[in-house]
This record gives sequence, structure tokens and C-alpha cells, in this order.
Amino acid sequence: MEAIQGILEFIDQIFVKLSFWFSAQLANFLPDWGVTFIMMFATVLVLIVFGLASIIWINVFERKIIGRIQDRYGPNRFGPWGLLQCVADMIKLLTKEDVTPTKADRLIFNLAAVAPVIPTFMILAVLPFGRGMVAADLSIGYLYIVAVGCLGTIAIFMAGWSSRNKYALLGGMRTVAQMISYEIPMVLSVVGVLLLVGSLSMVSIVEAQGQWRLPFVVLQPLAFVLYFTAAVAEVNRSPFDLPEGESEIVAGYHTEYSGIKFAMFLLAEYINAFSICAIATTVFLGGWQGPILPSWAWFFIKTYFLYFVLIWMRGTLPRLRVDQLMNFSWKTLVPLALANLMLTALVAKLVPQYSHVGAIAFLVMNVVVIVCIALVKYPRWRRDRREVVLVPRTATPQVDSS
Amino acid sequence: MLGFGILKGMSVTLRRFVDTYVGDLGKFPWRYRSRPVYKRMGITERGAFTIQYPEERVAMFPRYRGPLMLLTDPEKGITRCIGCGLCERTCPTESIKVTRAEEKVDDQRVPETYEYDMNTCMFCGFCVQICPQDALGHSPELEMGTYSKGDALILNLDQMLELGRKHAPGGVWPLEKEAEPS
Amino acid sequence: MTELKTETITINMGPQHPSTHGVFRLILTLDGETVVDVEPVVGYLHRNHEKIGEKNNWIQNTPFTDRLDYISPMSNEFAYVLAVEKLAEIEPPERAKYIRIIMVELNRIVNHMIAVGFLLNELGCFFTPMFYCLRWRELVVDLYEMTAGSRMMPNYFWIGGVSADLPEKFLPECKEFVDAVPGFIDELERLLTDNEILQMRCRNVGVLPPDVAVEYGCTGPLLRASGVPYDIRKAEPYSIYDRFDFDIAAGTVGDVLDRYLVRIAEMRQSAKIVEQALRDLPEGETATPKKRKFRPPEGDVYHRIEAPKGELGFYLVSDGSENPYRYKIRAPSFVNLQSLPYMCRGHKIADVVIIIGSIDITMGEVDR
Repeated sequence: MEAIQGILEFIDQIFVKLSFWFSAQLANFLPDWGVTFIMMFATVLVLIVFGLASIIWINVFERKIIGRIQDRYGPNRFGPWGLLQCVADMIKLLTKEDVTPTKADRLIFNLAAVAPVIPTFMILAVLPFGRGMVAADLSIGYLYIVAVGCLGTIAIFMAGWSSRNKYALLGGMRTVAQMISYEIPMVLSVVGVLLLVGSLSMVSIVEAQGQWRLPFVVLQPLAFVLYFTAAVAEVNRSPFDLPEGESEIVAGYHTEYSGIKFAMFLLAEYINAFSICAIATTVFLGGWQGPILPSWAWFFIKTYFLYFVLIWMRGTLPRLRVDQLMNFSWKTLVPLALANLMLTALVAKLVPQYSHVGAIAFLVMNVVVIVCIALVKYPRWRRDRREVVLVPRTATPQVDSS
Repeated sequence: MLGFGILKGMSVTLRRFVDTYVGDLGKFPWRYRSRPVYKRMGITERGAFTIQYPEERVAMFPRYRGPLMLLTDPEKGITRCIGCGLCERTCPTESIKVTRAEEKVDDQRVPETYEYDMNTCMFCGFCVQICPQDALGHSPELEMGTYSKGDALILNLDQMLELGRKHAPGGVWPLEKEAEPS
Repeated sequence: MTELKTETITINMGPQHPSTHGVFRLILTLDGETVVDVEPVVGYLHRNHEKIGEKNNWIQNTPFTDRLDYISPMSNEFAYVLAVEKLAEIEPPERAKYIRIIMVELNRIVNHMIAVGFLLNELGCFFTPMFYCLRWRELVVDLYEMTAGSRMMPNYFWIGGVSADLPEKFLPECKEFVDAVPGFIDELERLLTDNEILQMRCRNVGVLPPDVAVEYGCTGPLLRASGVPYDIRKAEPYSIYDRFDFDIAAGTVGDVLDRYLVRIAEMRQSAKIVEQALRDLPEGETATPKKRKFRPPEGDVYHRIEAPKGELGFYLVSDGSENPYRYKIRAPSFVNLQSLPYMCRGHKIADVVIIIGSIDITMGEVDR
């Protein structure tokens, strides 16, 4: 029994042990600051390589699932089960002509292609991928994520503005409006959780869920839904993919980009989508905690499940319109997030921390909120239901002949 | 209301998603081996609908209207065509040119040249329906791709007779059974 | 506070745009995201259809009509063939009449499937409903191929009948399909009709009041969605439509949502008609003897049918020769398209796309 536990423990900590071993090796011939320096570089390198490598199969994963949803197989020609499709795509994108429109603002146009990728990789730094597996356990972890996440907006707006293309401009404008309005519910919905934890650090959020012995999705289901909705909008995924709304404004802000620059935007989009799933996993689904399997496996299982939900939504839902998008954020998500925050603060004061009573109180609170909304909305929904009229006889249209 | 419509929709797509895997189980040995499947999807069947084209092919219906072929009378061993030129005159796009040979073969008039231009043909099937000798047919040929327009898509008498012998040995059109993919 | 001074921008939407249904160009004048004016430009797919029709003889025209509205070829043939039969006073056999009704109503189902599928696609559902609809369409297209030999350009209707009798396998398969249609439509409705986003997007967008719809000459589902239950199959029954029991679906508001719902209701009605036609299908001949060409008497004729997209009419003038003297088409897509600027003004750019989708145009028919 103990042997098994030892093995599990070893597998669980394999990456941590590897890094310790590596730094110990370095310490043999380097001073302390040198070891720290190189270890930091190594961590950054590992994260970047992980990010790029995960694209290779996230892309195929997404296309295959969308394909299955649509009654087809998806890519299955290149490599076993089409798993190398992304390699083929990359080769194609790399060898494509790199077009810069003559009238474009060259410097910003080129800069904009690189800019979105940097913040996406920076977010990966604070995510706890497993027990003890975090590159930088910042005490202001969540604040850092919000701050860095905002940078992507600027990159997209740069792209939209500098292309000197009207579709791109529309796309850029949409992005700015959308990202600014969805940042607020996204932050507010998590503040409820932060209240319960009492810290902004991502690692302590995960540990707090261990102490509750419940993931926060049980305590804060409403906040989870709000966060997920707002985060999907934040990374421009369907049904909030207005900035690149294919059927309306061709490709939005990256209309004029081709080749490797276009690939950069795709890269940023996929890693962004991955990181919001990872954040949701950390904050609401208990992060790396789970029985038997090693901690990092649990983290990836949960994250990819959320990613599957993202793809599933993309395969099902239509897109919102610009004004409805704004309405939805300011009139639905923000008030709900505020209400959730206030009620959470109230309940958190009233019930003891880390107790079953507390958990039940939080659940009841959420159910009450949802029932209240349903009661308000139901009459209107009844009234607005539309059905066609079936007429057995025809009518001759009357034209006013005057 | 409250996202129930959304959830309902998502249940439909999830079901489709699962159905493709169930469907794959049903055709397990085929999908991972290169073997043609002589079958179209049933109407109420669920699962992935794609035909994995080069490996899987479906049979063409007997009435499928492909490129023209000249039918050979199996008893006489020569074509049924008497070179009357009715097909040439009935063709809306003027894709057929026939000339009649001077001398008869086996007491039957035969065409001397027959030129069928697939570049302009719109596969309406008028020539086949109008032919008094039932000498024309549509071959179930699918892979007609060439690298250029022009001469490669113009069939002459020999090529058309060859098509006819290959696809309709009985010398009748519509074909007796579904044409199996080659 | 004085109002902000804003400039309008002009955007060229199309001819190569993912959702303009072919080579259709719109010159949009936008104030921010709001559409101030729309100017449709058509003619990119003009291919001299009507002039070619005068060059061809009466019979040779049928395959060309397939290319008009290539989503619903059978209906186009039906209209042309009926017009010529009216002119030459030919009476097709009973069985052929029933077969024609079956084909045309299957075609209506297919057309509405495609219309709804593409509308939902333009709403942004990343091709999923479109693929489902195309899958169901494939089943009908297989039936066409089995019967006529070609999937999209069947050239099946013959003046005075149909070109071939139904094959053996057709009846059971068609029956199976028609029985399955309500299930398909239910699934499609479950997928998106109740969806909050769809309801939000489609409600009160592109409203076309009944009087305006009539003044623009709109027909088909577009007119019926505006609340005018006008259907040529009932108003002026042609062929044998008076023998079938079906209802006309009409909307109440005349927005995109109503058009979507009307199309779905019409699919159910069409399935009902096919079912009745299959039940009553008589035995016998399917065509009057075939000829290469014929000369109808001098005179002119206009015949219209309720094509899936609206009133499809053929105006034919005969001078007694083997070619039509004049061959004019009243194409429903073209006439319905005229109401586009009216519907689009004041809406957002995203609405323009779904309004085009809800009109259901095929450029082959608009430009001819």
C-alpha cells in the first residue's frame, strides 16, 4: 500500500523533482544568483514550449470535435487520425506570402501581429498546473491575470486600426467595446470567490478549495456561469466572436493579415482560450485537486473538459449583435455579478468558514437568486413566444390603387 | 428562457457528437482499412455522413447521367449507332458532331466519326432520350478530371465505344444494376 | 449638449463576401455599425439566360431552367413545362402529374432546409445547422439522382409528362424520407428555435409590414411571414394542387423570426402533400410520346407557380416556330430582393446579413 502511495507521490511530483534536480546540478558550478537566473529562464522556456506544443493538438482537437458535432470526421489525412494536421497548416502558413497592404501603417501593422502573443504567455506564469507546479506564485495572482489580459485588447485594436481596412476597423472597434465591458463582470464574479479565500494568489485559491473540501463551483455556481460567459466574450470565442464575425465582417481585425502573422493571431486566440479554461479550473473547479490521479493530470482533465465545452458552444450557438452584446454585459452580467458579490459577502459573514452549513447556505443563496430571475423573466417569455398561424384558405392581397 | 433554449440546442449537438462514435463502431472494420463501401447512408441512420472519398466510394444509380458512351450490340459486335445525327441536332449546347460512313457494315449504317465535347456538355440527357436506335448511354464514370480544358475532354468514336464496352456490356441503358465504383 | 458630429463610411460588401449568397454586391453606408443606406448591385452572374431561351427550341429550354434557381431545379422546370403545356394545350397523364407534385414538394422541403440552414449559419452558428440541413438535403438529392440521373440539374420534367417513370426503389425510400421529415424538423427546431440568442437576433429585425410587402411585389414565404396568407397553390390552383389538403403558414409580425418559422411550418405542410400524393399515386403512363421539337400555336402565355422562393412565372411568346419568340422569367428572388433596402435601414450591419438570408435569394435566379 505504501509502495503504491510512494509511486503515486513520485509521479505527482515528477516535474517538481526534476526542477530541483536540475537546480542542484547547476548549484555545483554556479553561484546562487546564477542558479536562480537560469532556473527562471528554464521555466519561461518550458512554458513557451508548452504553449506552442499544446496549440498543435488543441487545434486538431477543436477541429475534430467540431467535425463530429457536424456529422463529419474532421481532419484525418495527415498523420495518425489526422493528429499532425496542425503541422501541415503551419507549413502552409509559414510558406505563404506575407502581405502588407500598401496603405497600412507598417510599424504598427507588424507590431500588432506579435503583440497579442506576449500577454497570453504571461498569463501562463501564475497558473498552478499541479501541486507545487507554478512558475511564479504571485500574491496578487488574479489581479495580475486581469491586468495582463487587458493587453490583448490593445494588440487587436492596433491590428484593426493599422490595416486601413474598413472591416478590420469595425472588428477592432467591436473588440475594444466588447473587451472593456466584459472585463467588469469577469472580475466581479471572481471577487466573490476571492472573498471566501481572502487572498488573490492562485495557489491559495486552490488550497482554500481543499479546505472547504468542495470546489467553488458548488458554492458559487452563479459566479461560475457569469465568469465563464464573460471570459468567453473576453477571448472572442463563439457566441461572442463579433470581432471576427465571419459572416458579417469577413475576418474582422485580421482581415489583412496573412501567413505567419495571421498564425500569430490564431496562436494568441488558442492560448487565450486555454488560459481562461485553466483559470476557471483553478478558481472554480478545484484546480489540481482530485483523487488518485496525479495533480497535473487532474488539472489538464478539468481544463480540457472546459475547453470541450467552449468548442461545443462554438458548434451550437449563434452570434450576438453588437448592441445586444453590450446590453447583455451591462444589464445582465454586471448587476448579477454585483448582487452575487454582495450576497456572498453577507453569507460569508453569517456562516462559519469551511463548514457544511456554510456550503448549504451558499447553495441556497444561489438558488434563490436564480429563482428570482426566473420569476421576473417568465411572464415576458410567455408573452413573447411566437408561433405561425396556419390558414386553410388563401387571401388575395389588397393593393391600394390610388 | 434563462438559457434553457441554449441547453436544449446543446443537447442536440452533443447527441450528434456521440452518434458519430456509435456509428463508427457500426462500421468498425471499414473505417480504418482502405476498402470501398458500396452503400449510401440510410435515411434514418445516424452518425457521420461523410464518404471518405478515395477509400470509400458509392455505387452510381443505373440512371446516373455521366459522360456519353456509344453502346455496342452484343450480338452483332458493332455499334448500334447509324450516324443519323439526331443527337447532334437535339443537343442544346452543340457538343456532338457525327458524320456517317459511306459504306454499310453488316447491312447497317455506321458512324465514321463521332466527336463528343465534354467541355460544353451539360449532361441534360436529351441525346440519349432522342436516339432512335438506343445507341447512346451515360457511363457511370466519375473521375473525369484533367489538367487542362480542351482536347483531353473531347472524346472520339473509339473512346466512346470503349466506354460503352466497359460499362454496358449488355448494350442497354439504363444499366441493369448499380454501377460499382472502379 | 450638442450632438456629436459623425461621418458615415461606405463599405463594399461583396461580390466576394462569405454571406451574400453568391456574387452579390451591397454598397452599405454605415454610421458606426448602423446601416444608413443600402444599395444592392446585381448582375455579376448574368449569363444571357433569356436570350439563350429564344435561341433554343421549346424542348431544349428545360435543362436551362434548372440553372435558374439551382437550389430548386424541379420547381423551375415545373413552371416552364406548365407554361408550354398551357400554350400548346397538352395534357400530361395522371401519373406524371402526381410524380411532378411529389418532386416539386420534395424540392420545397430541400429549398427551405437550405434557406433555414444558411440563415442560421449567417447568424453565426459555425456551420452546424447548415451541415444538418445539407445532410437531409442529400437524401432528397439521392432520390433525384435515382429517378432522373442527376442530383442538381435533373432535367426530369418533359413537356407532356416526365422523362422516365419512377424507379422501383423510389417509392419505399421516398415514403421513408417523408415519414422522417417531421423528425428532422423537430430536431432542427430543438437545436435553435428556442435559443435565446436566436430569438434576440431575429425578433423585430427587418420588419416588412404587409402593405409594404404587397407594394414591393414580394411573394412566397417573405409575403406570408408578413401576415398575408397568399399562396398561388391555393389562390389559383395549378396542376392538381386542388386535390391536396394542406394549410398556408402565415406569420404575424413580418420579421426574420417569422420568416424562419414560416419556412419550418411550410416544410411540414410539404411533407404532408408528398404523403398524400404518394398515397394517391395512380398507375399508368408517365409521358406523352417524345418528340425532338414541336411547334405550339401562335400566341403568348404567362404561367406562374408557387416556387419555394415565391411566385415564379414564365411569360412565353410563340410565333408558331420551333423557338420561343420571347422568353421572360419573373424570378421570385429578384423581386423579393427589392425590399432589402427598406428592411435594412436603421439596423446594424450584422442584421443586413441575416435579412439577406431570410429573403432567401439565389443569385442564379436574380441575375439570370
